[in-house]
Amino acid sequence: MLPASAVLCLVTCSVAVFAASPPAGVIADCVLCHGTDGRGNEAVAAPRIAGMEPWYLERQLVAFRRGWRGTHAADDQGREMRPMAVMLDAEHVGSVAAWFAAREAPPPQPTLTGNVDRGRQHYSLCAQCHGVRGEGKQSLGAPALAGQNDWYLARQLHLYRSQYRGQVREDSYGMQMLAMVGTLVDDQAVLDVVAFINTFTEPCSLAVAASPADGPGS
Amino acid sequence: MSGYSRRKVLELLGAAGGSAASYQVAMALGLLASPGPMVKASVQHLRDTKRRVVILGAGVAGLVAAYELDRAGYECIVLEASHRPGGRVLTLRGGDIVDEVGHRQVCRFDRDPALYFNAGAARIPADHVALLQYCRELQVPLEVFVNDNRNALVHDDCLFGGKPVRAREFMTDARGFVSELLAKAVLGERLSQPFDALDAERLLGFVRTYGDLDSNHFYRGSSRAGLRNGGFITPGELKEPFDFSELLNSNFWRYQMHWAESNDQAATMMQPVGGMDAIVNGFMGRMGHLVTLEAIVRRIHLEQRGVSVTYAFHGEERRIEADYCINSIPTHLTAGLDHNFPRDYVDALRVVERGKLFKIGLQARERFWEAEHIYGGISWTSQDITQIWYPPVGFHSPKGILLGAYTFGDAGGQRFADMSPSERISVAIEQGERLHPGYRNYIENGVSVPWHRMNHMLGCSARWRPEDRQVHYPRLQQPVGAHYMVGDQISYHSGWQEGAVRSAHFALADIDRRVQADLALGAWS
Repeated sequence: MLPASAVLCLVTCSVAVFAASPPAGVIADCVLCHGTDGRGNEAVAAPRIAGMEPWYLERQLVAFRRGWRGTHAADDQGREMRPMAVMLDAEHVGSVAAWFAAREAPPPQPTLTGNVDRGRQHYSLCAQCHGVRGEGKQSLGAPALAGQNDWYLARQLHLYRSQYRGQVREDSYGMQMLAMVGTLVDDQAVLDVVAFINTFTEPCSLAVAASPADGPGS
Repeated sequence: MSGYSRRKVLELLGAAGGSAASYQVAMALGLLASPGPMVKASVQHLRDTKRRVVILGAGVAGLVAAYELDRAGYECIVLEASHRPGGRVLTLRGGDIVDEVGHRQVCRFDRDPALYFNAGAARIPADHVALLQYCRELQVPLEVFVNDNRNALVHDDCLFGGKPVRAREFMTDARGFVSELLAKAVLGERLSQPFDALDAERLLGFVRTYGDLDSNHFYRGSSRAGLRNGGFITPGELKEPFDFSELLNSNFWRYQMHWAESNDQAATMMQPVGGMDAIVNGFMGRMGHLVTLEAIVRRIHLEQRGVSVTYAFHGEERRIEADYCINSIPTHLTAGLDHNFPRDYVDALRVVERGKLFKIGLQARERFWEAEHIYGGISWTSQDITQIWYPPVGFHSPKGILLGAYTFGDAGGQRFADMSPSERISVAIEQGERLHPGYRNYIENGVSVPWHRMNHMLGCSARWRPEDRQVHYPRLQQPVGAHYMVGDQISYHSGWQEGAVRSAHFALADIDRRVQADLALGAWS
């Protein structure tokens, strides 16, 4: 018996069904940084890719491969990602994207704080493409923001604001985002809007173990 | 200045002449404690009871833990993600794979046991006694590692327009100038209590010999800098001292000049004969059957009793239940696993920063440096390669492996990591050329290891900010349930095998205490 979410996935994610599974070694390379099942790992600045839309993941892999992302001198994290995307066989790009799209992982913990009310005001513009609850709109090429690591969203907004991302003409979606991000005038505006995006997913605390096996001596 | 106390003099000497000066004076004044006794793990044998321990990572910490627990009757399972044991003890030889993510390389050195490169741990100080005890026990033969060589070079773009000088020239002149200043200060002042006339005379004598001043307390050059001419069958001629302000322009005095004075870098340093991995092989010879390679941990869960670990092995998922888990996976990678650690523990895992240390090994067709009177040791440069190491053994043999770069700083490490492996070698050769004209003609091939891009590690060494040492370090040093973080990352000796050994001993002592307490209560046996 498959869990409900897996059934849903079989119905909705045709790519996941028909694309060949990526080799185990390729997945091992991805989860090294992105964490088990692609849950995201702040300690190495690798965002959550579990459950991400396959079309968006694929587009970003292509962006890294073509050098639209991960080439700027100020983008250390992007430059760590780029060789991984480059060495990926073209035939695996689709299956890797599909594999992570089909993964489930607990929602990320909020790590940033900002003014949610001001963030809501900033977000009204974002909502036009990314959806009122950050659910994303494939027709506009805009990925979901809800459930993404807040530190990653803030980092990407910073890269756009500094024109380290979205500055390549061929990267039309990036250029579009670059134009929109001008409304976030400073670092505080970024924090505020990310704090508002955090409200789309209920914070979920990790299961806290009560040090069960502590011996009688302690 | 109105007078000198003993302490004040030590401070002055320390600031001016490096710690060697103050160390010698402190020894003379009897202010130093002696080093402590040998350190060994003590785990009591389980006898007829059973405990299972799963150990994550077959680096030095994991190997020590498994070796000790196995001897004490514990059932041990060691899971290692890589194709090889050793972690950051990595000795490269011709044909070896360098498992860098995004740039897998093969080492092209000649297949000759003498031509190896210690790309990770590469030297052992004499007071790393716990590690040395294992070398003794595992019969790993050691030899001298030359860490400091006064004939090696100092290259700095801010010094003599980038023209290299010998370390001995820089150091002798710098000491001479500083000693001359100190002598003037001492001669011009009446020393306060507790110095008496005899002390003052000794202090002047000390300063004179420290800087090799003449009888009038002037520095006029010294044979310590090497002679310009003669000295064997004709009289020796001293070199003209450098201009001190020029020496001050250089950054060499900031730390490299005092490199070999530091606690972990002072002579006598050692290395295992034939490569640092002799230590890994020594352990593996005793407990290698406990190690599963290419076992990639995905999940660590604290259970009501013990810990469960799930790992991928050749595409298959496997699960282990154990009474205890000893984890040497880097903190920054442990943070990304499927786990159920409490929040404060996760916070601690996340704050540890990873270093971007970077090394290059170069195969030279000829030991040209020996013709420049350089036998072992380190030349320093202000360029990204930072240092060149010359092999400390195998003198006058035909070929040699140089360390062509050992970059400490993040920016330099990142710059190298961004390049392709062949570009890195080209840059290292180009920069080496500034120290040794003609360098490029001698280099046959090379291999590069950016530690923050190495598979299953992604960092070297763990960096703790002082404020995190206060809160997060003690949290990770203590177990959570039956899970123990270990490795050099959980020590005050990050980047040293001794830190890894001591962290393993720390965890073993706690496990031993808990198990013995269980047994004493008759529980769970």
